[in-house]
Amino acid sequence: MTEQAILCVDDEAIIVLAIKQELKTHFRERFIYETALNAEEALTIIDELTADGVSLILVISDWLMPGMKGDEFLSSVKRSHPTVKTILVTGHSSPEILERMKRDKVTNSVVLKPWKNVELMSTVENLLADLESESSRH
Amino acid sequence: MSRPRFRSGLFGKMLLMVGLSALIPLIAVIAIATVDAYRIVSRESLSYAEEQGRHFADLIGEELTVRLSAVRSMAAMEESYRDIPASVRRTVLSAQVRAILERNPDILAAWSQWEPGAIGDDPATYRGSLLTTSRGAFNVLWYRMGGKLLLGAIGIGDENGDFFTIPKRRMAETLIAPYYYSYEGKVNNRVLETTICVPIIVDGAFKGVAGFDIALASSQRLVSGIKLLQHGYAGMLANNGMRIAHPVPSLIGGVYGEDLPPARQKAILADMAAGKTFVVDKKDLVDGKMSRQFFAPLHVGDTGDPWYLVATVPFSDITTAADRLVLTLVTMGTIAALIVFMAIFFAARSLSRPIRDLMGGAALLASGDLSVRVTPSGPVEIVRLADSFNAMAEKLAALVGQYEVSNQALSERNAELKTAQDSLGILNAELEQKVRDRTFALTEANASLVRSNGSLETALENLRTAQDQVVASEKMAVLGQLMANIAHELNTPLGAIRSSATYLAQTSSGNGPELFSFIASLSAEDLAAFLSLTRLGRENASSFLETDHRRERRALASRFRSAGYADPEMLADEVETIGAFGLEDEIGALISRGRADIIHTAANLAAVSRAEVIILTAADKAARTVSALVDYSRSEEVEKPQLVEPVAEIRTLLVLYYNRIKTGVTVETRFDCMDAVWGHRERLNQVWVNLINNALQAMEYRGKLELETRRVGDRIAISVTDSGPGIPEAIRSSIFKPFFTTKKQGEGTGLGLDICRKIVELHEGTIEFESRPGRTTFTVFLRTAGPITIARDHD
Repeated sequence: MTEQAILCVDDEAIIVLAIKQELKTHFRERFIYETALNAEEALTIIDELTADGVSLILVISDWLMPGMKGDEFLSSVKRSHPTVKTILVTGHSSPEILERMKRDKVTNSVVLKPWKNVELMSTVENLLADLESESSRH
Repeated sequence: MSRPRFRSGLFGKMLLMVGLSALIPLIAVIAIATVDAYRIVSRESLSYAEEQGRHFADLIGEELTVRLSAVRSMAAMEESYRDIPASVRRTVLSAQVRAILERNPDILAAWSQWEPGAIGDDPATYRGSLLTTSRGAFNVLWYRMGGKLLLGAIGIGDENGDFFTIPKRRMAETLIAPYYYSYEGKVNNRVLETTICVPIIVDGAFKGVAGFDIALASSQRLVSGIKLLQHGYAGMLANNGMRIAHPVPSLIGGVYGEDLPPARQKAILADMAAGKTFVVDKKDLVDGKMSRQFFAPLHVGDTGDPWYLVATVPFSDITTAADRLVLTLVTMGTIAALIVFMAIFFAARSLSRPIRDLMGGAALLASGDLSVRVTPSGPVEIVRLADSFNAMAEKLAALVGQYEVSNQALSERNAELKTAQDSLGILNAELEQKVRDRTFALTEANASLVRSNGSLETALENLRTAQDQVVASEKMAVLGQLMANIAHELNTPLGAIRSSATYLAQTSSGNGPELFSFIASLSAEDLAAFLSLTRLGRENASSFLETDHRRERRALASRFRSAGYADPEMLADEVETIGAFGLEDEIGALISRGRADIIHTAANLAAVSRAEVIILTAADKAARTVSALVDYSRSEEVEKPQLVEPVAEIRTLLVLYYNRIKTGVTVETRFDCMDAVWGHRERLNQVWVNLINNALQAMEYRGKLELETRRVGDRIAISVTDSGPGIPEAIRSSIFKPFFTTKKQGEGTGLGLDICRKIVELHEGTIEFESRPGRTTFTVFLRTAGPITIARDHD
């Protein structure tokens, strides 16, 4: 079976490492977990994973990052990897921004900082289930 | 032939010139001849009339003179009265008078009257008897009546009348003025008569007068037959002006000139009395036409005042003759002119026809027919001209043949030029149109610029007045945004804390007793390895946030997979978590001994340490955020200053906050001045962080960040330089204003540079910048406190 990877992107190392730890604790060896501190680095990692034959299935990204912002980054990833699922994590609780993101379908899900472990994991589980049902249909 | 051709054609001109030169003298000759003819004819007519007048006057005068001579012979007979016996003297003398009357049938009466006693007869004796005057003188008169000769006495009381006294006085023959005489007292027998008287003079002594009475009707007969020209006639006037002969009988007896003014009549009568020959022009009494009258005197013997023959000729008669002459002249002249014209016409045509042929040839030649030749004809000069023409056409054809090729090229070139000129004209027109359009658009734009300039000025004015009002509320709005940013800044560490705390809770709740039993189960060798790994994990936990061993981990996983280990990815991740990359062999030994659980457990413990570090770091970050907020809200507060080393602070900041920039940014430091300054460390750090953040954002985290310090007089200059696009000229004066930001929503509050300036000014320093594309430098100048190194207490 092809190796599958989950990528976490945030300009704060504590965030990506904390999330990585949560994922590892929850899913253990089921996936490869990668972290990046900005969009450019994330894209480099994605390229490398692709080159290694690893399948990227989920990207968890901060919204507010230096350089390329989260929504732009996710759109870019979606273009190159149409099947990938995305979660946007943001410290901004502005309702109109969340509305806009949902409306524009820039991401599959949005998780607000500070998130709860259960909340994040169930979101990931749901997306993985969607992914499985989609791939089984194909 | 139309006028233009007549004018312009050679033939026409020749005809015109020659014809005029012939006709003008001809007309002049005719005119002169006409005038002369009138004059000659008039003169001839008049002299004819005059001559006729004289002629008839002479004839009539002769006839009267014949009568006079009869009277003279009678008087001579009477003079010889002494040869007759005294007793029969009266009877013989009377018989002689009768015999004279008998021999002259044209006379009315013959008579003689004597002085008393002139023939020796005693007046006393004869007084009262027949043939005797009242004075007793002999007086005999025989007259003709009804074909018989009758004897009567003279005068019926008019003895010593003019017929006696005038001849006696003049002692000469006398013609008595005409008079009417009624024979035998019958009024209807009235006869216009005259009397010719001859004095009877014997030995120089007057004895008496003998005379004839003549009816002037004979004069009428004489003149009535006279015809002068067509309508001319003759008449006779007596010496007293009485008309005694005239074609119109009713006019006889009238006095000439009764239709003229009295003065003129009198002058004419005077001329007559003087016996002149003269002419009178006047209207004729008969028909009222202007006429010329010739007065020719009639001389009868020595009878004194002449009578006149008047020849009247109407002018029309004279001019008719002249007209006829002129008509003849004009007719002949016209015929002559026509003959001349015809001669000229044919002569000119014979000359012009070859010339016209030549002209036609020349026209054909001119129109391009070079093969045209003319047939020489006409006068020798024309023939030579035609020959020359043909020769010229020959040469021309040759010449044209030579030039035809180059001419063709020229005309083609010409056409090209024409085309070029046309298109140039079109281009020119288009250009003009464009210039007009552009000028119009410019004018429009200018007008609208002027308008918008006006409204801009107004808007700017409004803006200025509104700005002050807006600033306060804007401050609140920015504060709201600042709060959102702060929420984000707090939510991020809170998220990390919650995540890690959850992890710790899960781990500690599940792993506590298991961990103890696990340790208890370890052999001494394994325990040593476990403790070694656990210690390593705890040591590396402090720096794991700043280093990324992803590549090492991937390489290790690859090797583990090659070695056939289970879950190579997870195993490599655990090695990374522990930070045991250098212990690959030991790890391999553990796995091969079947003690991978030692690695797992050590990794779990390392993860716990990491979670602790994450929580601490996040808590620090949250605390810093809160502290910054407090600092900002208390930025006016002045705390007690301390010695601060900007270079050391900047280095720490780089370590703490900017490890992330290593992917896209090259950092160059050049710290030539290590001096300390008096001030507030945290606040100054806020300045450096702000400047570095601005620099990174300006170049979008790609490029070169230069950090420099140098000594400038008593000040230290701290510079932050980026390789970004530079600050646009338009906003350079605005960048230190509060709330000014060029950053995207969520990236900046717009307070950064405002705060920086405030902090620097609080430290009695200055901040300035210079910017061009590719290089923007912000420099802070602070008063130096000298190169004093103090102990740092910021841990």
